[in-house]
Amino acid sequence: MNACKQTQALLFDNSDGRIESDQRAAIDAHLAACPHCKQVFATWASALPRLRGLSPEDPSAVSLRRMENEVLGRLRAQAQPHLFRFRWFALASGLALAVLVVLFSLRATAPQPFAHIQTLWGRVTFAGLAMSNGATIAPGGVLEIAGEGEASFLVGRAAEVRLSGPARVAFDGTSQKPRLRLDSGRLAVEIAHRRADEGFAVLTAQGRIEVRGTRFVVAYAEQNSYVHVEQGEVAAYRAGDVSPSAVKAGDTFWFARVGETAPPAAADEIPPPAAEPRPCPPLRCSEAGTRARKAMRAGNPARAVELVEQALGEVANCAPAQLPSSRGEDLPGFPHQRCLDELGYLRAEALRQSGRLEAAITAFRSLNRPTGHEPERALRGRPVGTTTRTQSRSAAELRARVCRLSQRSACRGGPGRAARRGRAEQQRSARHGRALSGPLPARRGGGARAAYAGTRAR
Amino acid sequence: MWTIRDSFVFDLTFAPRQATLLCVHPELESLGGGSEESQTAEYVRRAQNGDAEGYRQLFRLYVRRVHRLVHRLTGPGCDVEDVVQTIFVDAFRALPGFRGESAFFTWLARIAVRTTLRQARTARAHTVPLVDSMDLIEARDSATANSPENASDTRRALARLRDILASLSDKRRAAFVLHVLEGHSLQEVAQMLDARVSAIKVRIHDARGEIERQARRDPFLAHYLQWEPTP
Repeated sequence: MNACKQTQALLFDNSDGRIESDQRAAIDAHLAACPHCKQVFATWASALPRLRGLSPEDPSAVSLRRMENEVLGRLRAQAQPHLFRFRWFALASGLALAVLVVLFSLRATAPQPFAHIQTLWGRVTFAGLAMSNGATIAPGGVLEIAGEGEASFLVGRAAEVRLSGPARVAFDGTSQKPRLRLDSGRLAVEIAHRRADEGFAVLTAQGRIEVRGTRFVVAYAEQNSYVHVEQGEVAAYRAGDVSPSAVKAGDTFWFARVGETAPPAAADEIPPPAAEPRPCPPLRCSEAGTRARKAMRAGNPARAVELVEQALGEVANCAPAQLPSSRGEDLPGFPHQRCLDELGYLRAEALRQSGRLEAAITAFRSLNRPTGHEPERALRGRPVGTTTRTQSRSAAELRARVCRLSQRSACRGGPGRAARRGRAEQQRSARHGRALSGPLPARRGGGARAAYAGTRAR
Repeated sequence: MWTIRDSFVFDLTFAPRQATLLCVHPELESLGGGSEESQTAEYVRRAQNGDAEGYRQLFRLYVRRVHRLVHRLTGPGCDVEDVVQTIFVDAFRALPGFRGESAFFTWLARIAVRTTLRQARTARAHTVPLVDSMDLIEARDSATANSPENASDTRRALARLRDILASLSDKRRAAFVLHVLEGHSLQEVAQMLDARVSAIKVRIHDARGEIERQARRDPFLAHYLQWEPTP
């Protein structure tokens, strides 16, 4: 049987003449002895020419031409995109490089404007002349804010300065190395990292600050002046000192040593504001935000910036209404800070839409507050699924605490919102033909009081 | 000196005195003066150097054999020309990797079988033949089919054989077609199908038994192959 399989495996090689002479002899010998294999060989030997003759007709010349064109066309199509892409890529890269070179050279050669006003609020003068938005500031002049007011301006490259009045500041130096001499008032600076050939200095009567890129506040308090660093680090020089003192984020540096002038209350603490903080006006976040958003939708982001700046000026440098807190946390200040954050975001967005990108970037960076209210901090880093529940619980706790502490009328219940809701439901049910004998039992006594009672029970 | 060459049918030059003959340009004839192997080697070298003419000549040299192989490997309802085009595109794309370790057609047939079986599987899964393949096939006008009746018989027998081949497994069908119908040796078939020679022998043995059994059940095909039909 094995010999039969071996012989039959060579059936077609034998027919095609691919058999060596010794193999042919073995096959002949096997076929002489095996009638079955002989029958198989005879069957397929006779059928093989006819089987091979059952061949499809060659494709027509037209079909061949079509196939050839198709194949070569597909090969070309696969090759060409690479060339195409390469050429466009090379062209685009060259153009982009050329544009960058031109921009860089222009930026390097073009004189940077020294400073220009961004926003104004209050009575602001420069060299005795009233200022307006967008006005330029030349070195050698003095900017003054009489009374309450605020001016923000860009100095050199990516240095945003906000001067809160009453204040007086003199400008000096160049656009690469501006120097601001603060004679009075409060100066908040947010400045991008300086290049090697750039600098930024603020002088006070008692010293000077040199920075490479940071966010800080310089202000006067009594007869002294201080710098408070919010981000980064500054080098502070006392008058007459050669070696600087490094002031890091969160630190406050008083220029006049204790005893030299009227000492501050405590040098290590955050200094008090220059003047007695005025109480914050009622929050106008909603109103100002609505008006600013409307202006942005109307395509007038400059107006939005102006509105937000105005609202920010009203709530900046004021003391939020102080309410006692059992844990000493800045609970009442929370809505105040939220207001500032919201307006700050709107201001940054409006600056971006108005094309003042550097100011917008600076404003956006200032929004990245390293600290925040505790409930907000507690929410950070939590899984998304747990955020909502935690947030709502925190809000409920806040409401309950505010009610407990402030003794608001809404917390005391009475014929307030719950009563109004009960009357509305009664009227609605009457319209649908259902009579109600009285107020809903669950609502009697006021929903807010019930909620407060439930909170206390928990 | 114009020479008639059967394998070149494209670069046609109309000769007034030989109006019905297809002629090859002398420049091509100078390239194609040697054997098929030397021609193929030259065209492969030119194609590998990026010469489009090398691709063109390789296509013209092998398209008929590939077309016949694909037709035999696929069942009714398959777009043979589309498969042939795909095979040549795949092969030409892979041509830079061809190092001449085997015959060019062995290398090409390996791609052809792989591509054909892949496309046939897809076609079986996604298409339904609308017309019988008999209507599409124009059988070769061979010595056994030189009359209209014989041509009709040949078309019919070819359709029956194609149906039987289509009923085989891919491996058996490929081995049988390459060895029995196309006439490649067992070693060549083993190379084309990436299998051992012993495995190819088994596949051909099984395919031969299955084809004989089905052909004997078909009185027309059994008669055409001069076999005794099985009742």
